[in-house]
Amino acid sequence: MSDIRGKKGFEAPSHEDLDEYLAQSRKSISQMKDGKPPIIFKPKRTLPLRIIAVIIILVVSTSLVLGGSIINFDSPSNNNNNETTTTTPMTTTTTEISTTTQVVTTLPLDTETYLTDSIPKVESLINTLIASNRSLINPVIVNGTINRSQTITNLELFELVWILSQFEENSEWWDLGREIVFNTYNLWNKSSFLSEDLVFQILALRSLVAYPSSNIPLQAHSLQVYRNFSKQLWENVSSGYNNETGTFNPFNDSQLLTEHQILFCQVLGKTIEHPIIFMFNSTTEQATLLLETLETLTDSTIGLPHKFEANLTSSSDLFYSHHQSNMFLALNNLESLLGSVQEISMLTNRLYNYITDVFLQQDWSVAFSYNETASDLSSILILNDQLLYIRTNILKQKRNFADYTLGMVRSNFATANSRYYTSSEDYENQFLIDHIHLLLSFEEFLKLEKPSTTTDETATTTDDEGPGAASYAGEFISILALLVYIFYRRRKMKQ
Amino acid sequence: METITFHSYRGGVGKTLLSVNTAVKLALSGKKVCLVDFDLRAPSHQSLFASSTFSVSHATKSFTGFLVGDHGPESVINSTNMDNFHCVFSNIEILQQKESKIRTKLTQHGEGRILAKLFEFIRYCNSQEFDFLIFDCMPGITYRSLDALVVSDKIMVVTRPVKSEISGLRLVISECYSKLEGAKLFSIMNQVEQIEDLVHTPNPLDVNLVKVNILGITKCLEESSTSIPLLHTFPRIPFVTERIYVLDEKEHPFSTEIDIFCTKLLQ
Repeated sequence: MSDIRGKKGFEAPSHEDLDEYLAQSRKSISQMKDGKPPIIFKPKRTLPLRIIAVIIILVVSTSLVLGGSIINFDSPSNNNNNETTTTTPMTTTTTEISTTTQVVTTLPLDTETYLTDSIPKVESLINTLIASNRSLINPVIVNGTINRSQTITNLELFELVWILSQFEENSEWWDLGREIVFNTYNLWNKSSFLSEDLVFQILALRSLVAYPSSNIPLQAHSLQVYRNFSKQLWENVSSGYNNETGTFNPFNDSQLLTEHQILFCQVLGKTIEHPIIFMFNSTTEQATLLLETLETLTDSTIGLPHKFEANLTSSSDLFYSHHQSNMFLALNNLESLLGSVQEISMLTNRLYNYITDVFLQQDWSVAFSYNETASDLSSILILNDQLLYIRTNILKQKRNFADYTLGMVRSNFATANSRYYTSSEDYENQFLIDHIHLLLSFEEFLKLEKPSTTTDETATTTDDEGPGAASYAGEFISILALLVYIFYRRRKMKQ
Repeated sequence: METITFHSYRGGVGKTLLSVNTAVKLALSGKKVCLVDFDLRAPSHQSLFASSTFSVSHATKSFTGFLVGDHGPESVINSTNMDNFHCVFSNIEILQQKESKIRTKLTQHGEGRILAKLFEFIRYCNSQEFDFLIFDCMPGITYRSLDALVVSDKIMVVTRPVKSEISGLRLVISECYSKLEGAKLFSIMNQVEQIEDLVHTPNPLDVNLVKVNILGITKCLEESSTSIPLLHTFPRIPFVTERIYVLDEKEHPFSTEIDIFCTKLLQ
């Protein structure tokens, strides 16, 4: 048999693995046919007897020490009792993919119902965070109380406007962003911005061009001021653009940041909607050059690095998934300028493959879940990663990945007693921005085409109204029973 | 769309010549066909097409690159001077140049990721309204050949009537083909000696051995627990080289055999 097995590095399965591989392949294909994500199945590996014994001893002793209460009922995933925005009982489908498969998915059965119900609640929460006359947005929440003393910064305004502009045209939230730029805060004639650094200026410019020229609510004279101001900002920003490498280097550093290239991409993507402010030929050239640079920087296995050298070699071991998603979304906008060029589709594929690889490879509780006890920025960025991942999947028409991520966000997000909500004053506006982003994801998801079939034959439906202690005890006993069974089988086989 | 994979238990039985000529013939008969060189460790289609009168549009990206996520399905499909015939090439450079992580992904278990990419490719071809997607698969039982077999609607098991083939075929049927569900299996006996055309009188021992081998293969297929009907027997035609006969020499005996085979395939 050995002669028909793999050669030249192409590995062949063992007799046992072949059966397993075929079975898993069939299952994966049947899932993919239903529009679900593929199954990632790992080669079968048996645990050494000693390790199994240690696990059993550890589990039993831990349970004895804790008096049977090994489950933390206050963990973020068990928040149904306290959650203000998701009080509706949810029915979930739990799909367990054989004992050797590493992926266990929990897909919300009825995401539409949940979203339809949740959208007004999230909207209501956002409205609570925003002052009633919408003249001031300064939600500082300390120990669960909304305090309006803190003035919102320009940078936060820029971020808010950018997200709000992405809602459906003429919708309430889309209009709010436009109001902020052109009415409430009059960002369109703040000449003081011109003395700020180039990152600030590009963020300001991004807000100014976020709405198409046909939707600028300014009279003739004001409109001219707006255009001149935007042109000046663009001129300043362009001085940070390197015509040879196609990179945006606002601080003229030896090391460049990917997030700056994303910003530049986002602005370039909007230039087509503002023909009077921007020169089409010049922005097209810049975009083409930037695409070439991105191609050099992007690797299909690691995506875009956090930083890179001026000679376009990676200079950082950090690869943030929000960079991949943000660039993915920005490239999508760039299509409006360049059309469907092959470079864009290739790059979006690479970036999407990378983040999906993270999604498939990593345990979600590590890769994306919100860590309630953490009060640093990383946990917030992780939430943002989830939201961005939902949006990339929506763009890619990957309904099940988007659905799954929404399920994760739902269970980990927006709890009334969350420490994220109360722990730090620094990120309260991030809380508002994240909620608006969440709302955007919800609305985009509802527009996503629904596949014909969404359930699996092997799925079992459970009612998840509340995490009863009995269900956890049952779960614990089944795990223990499984371990004892494996232990018994190993012993038996050895005999 | 129908996905057909040409597979064999070992190399050198003529899979590539059969799959390429079949694909081109199907396209000549008006079907929209996509042919994929899925012999990742020894790809040969690119050179085969280069030596033919066939004109392939500038080759863009390799299928190997698609499998590891370097580019999308649309950039690996090459158009040709026949509107309804498209081909996809693989190259081994990616296996030699890229970091070991990618090699591992391609050559080893792969955790179902390569299978998912193959499925994605099939789905894309489906959306492009191809009538046939044909995989010229690597021989033997490797994780990658299993991927191709699992996603196929029809599998063409290519054999040659030589002694060593019989035991190998028996093994590959019991180890692999019998476990496949959903795909229809057919066998093709290739390069079968023809006594009629010989200019010399062959040694009776050789004639007998050929008969025994053909019988052995036939018996092996008939006795198999899985139905693998013999779809066609290709006679051994001297001086058949790696060419696209159905295009370059339509009257060639090999082209005639491919015509008959395709008629059976379409039935």
